[in-house]
Amino acid sequence: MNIRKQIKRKECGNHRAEEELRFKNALLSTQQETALDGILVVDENGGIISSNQRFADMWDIPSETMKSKSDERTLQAVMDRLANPENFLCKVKHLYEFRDETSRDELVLKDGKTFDRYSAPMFGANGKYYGRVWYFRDITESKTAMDKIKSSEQSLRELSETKSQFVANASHELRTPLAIIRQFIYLLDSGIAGPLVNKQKDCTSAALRNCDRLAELINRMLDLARIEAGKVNIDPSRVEPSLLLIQSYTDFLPKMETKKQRLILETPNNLPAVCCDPQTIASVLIELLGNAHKFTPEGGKIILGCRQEGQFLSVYVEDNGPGIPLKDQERIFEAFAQVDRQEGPGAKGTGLGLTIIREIVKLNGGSLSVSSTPGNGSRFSFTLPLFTTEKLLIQRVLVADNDKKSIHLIMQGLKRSGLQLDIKTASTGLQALVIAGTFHPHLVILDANLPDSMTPGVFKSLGRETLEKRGKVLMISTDQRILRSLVRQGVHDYLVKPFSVEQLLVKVAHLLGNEPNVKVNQADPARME
Amino acid sequence: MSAGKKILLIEDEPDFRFGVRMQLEANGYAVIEAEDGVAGLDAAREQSPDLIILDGRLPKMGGYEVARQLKGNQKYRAIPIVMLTARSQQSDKQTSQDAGADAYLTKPFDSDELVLTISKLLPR
Repeated sequence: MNIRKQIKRKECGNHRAEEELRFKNALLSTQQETALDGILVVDENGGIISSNQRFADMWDIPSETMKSKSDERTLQAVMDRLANPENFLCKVKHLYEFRDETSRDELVLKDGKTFDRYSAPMFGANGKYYGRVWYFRDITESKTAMDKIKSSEQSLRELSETKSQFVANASHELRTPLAIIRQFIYLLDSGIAGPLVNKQKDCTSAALRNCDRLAELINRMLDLARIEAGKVNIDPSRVEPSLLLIQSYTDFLPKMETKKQRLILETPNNLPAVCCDPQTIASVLIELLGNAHKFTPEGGKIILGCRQEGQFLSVYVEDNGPGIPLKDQERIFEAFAQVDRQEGPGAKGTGLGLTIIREIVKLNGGSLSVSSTPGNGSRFSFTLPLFTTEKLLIQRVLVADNDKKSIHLIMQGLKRSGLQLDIKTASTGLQALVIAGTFHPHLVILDANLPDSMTPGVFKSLGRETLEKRGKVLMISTDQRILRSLVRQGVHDYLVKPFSVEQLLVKVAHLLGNEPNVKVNQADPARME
Repeated sequence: MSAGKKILLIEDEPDFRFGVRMQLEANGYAVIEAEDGVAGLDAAREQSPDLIILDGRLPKMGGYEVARQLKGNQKYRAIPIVMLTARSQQSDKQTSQDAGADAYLTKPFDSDELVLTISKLLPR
């Protein structure tokens, strides 16, 4: 091969490489320019490598500043627009120090706009650090929309409270005149005000009946308003299902007799105990049995029973009355729903009973439903959670340690704790702080020897963030002296490395307010370094 | 009949006082009336009633406060008090008991129940 040809080939290769490079550049700059985010790329010293037009537009940076590529002037232009430039600078400095971190936060501008800021380091294939990319996105609109939703939620809550308060006051004010009316009708009805003829007596007894009906309606409205305002106290305890049912059963037997109805009690043996407030549940049973009695014709059959369904007890009241049409089955739970139901003779209902007991069942942790085939009776049933000794509450734990082996051992230990835990991990103090901001841990296990955890700001903020939410902080370190001094600064407890899984579990259980369910075993081989 | 048994009725609604008085007199009780808490407290101290019917909400001094003062005084502690409340809440019972009332009825109440309650507290 002659030299000329060789040169020609080399030129050809160069040409191809150049072409490829040009293509990649075009691709990159197109990507950068078509992006919705403002993008800024800086080198390891913070010098500007490139930026897109969107970045300049968002931050209102004059084109001569952009052309100058001066990082100082660009930074100044950005700072000028921020509501809190110090925080911004603090974060930038931090990220230059801790090169491999990514970060995401929100920036508030002087003019009220909100930008989402995302930053990631730029590493080459060989692991060489080239600098950092910053993305900025204007989220003002979605932020404003979210604020609007929040404020309308707030005013809805206030409106609902006003309504409940109004009903409470109104029902109070209605009682006094009603009491007076009832008293005078009574004076007539009883003959105290003079003798009555039979027709007059019919009138007064109808008036008395309806005074009582109105009083009952006022009571129910007040009950519902109190439930809606969250003012009803549920006092749950461990209750035997048969005891829960038998009282209502015996109370209703004589009443059922008046319509020659058969009341049957179905409680299987060996049912597990439930967790509920027996007083409020008794009122639910009274309502359901009362309805069954009212709507079932003479000589009908009514069954009161219960059975286990998974983690719940299902309690049911079944009748062989006329049933409820499908279209009305959900509506009967609405307040004052107008439903065609034959009540038969006697006082009409208030139209609030089912609405109230559905709420009461909900407050007890269950749900109330109906199934019915018209012509074939109705079955109302509600669930109640079974009683368990375990704490079903899930507790959140944040583990901040930069040693993977150590994190692994802590995780293994926590999994053996028997507690229901939601665990998150962080490898730096700052990362832990960011996670704690949204995770609200019940417990933070923090290594005192993290590269930045002892940076006073991070430690203080993490501590405050956790303590504000009544969380606990458990510090771990190889240095007992540091740990002791930290306890004086508000840390709840500490463990000196190396420690055993059992030692950790005793501390964790104690800090989370549970009795440890593992015994301390000194000979445990798994020790943490 | 319980001749001579004197009931003090402390209630701010004139119509209500009239209606209750009529019923009580028909049952053989003598009735004296007071229309606010302060007048009621005075009447209780000066006219030595055998029993007091006391509305919970009264002008000048609330009914619960009247009950507390009377029950806190050795001299008047023995006079039975029936509280009338206008709220049907569990807390009514508690508040009435805390104030030292011997019984309570929620308005509107069954008038027969009022006489029954009184006769239990005033054995003949």
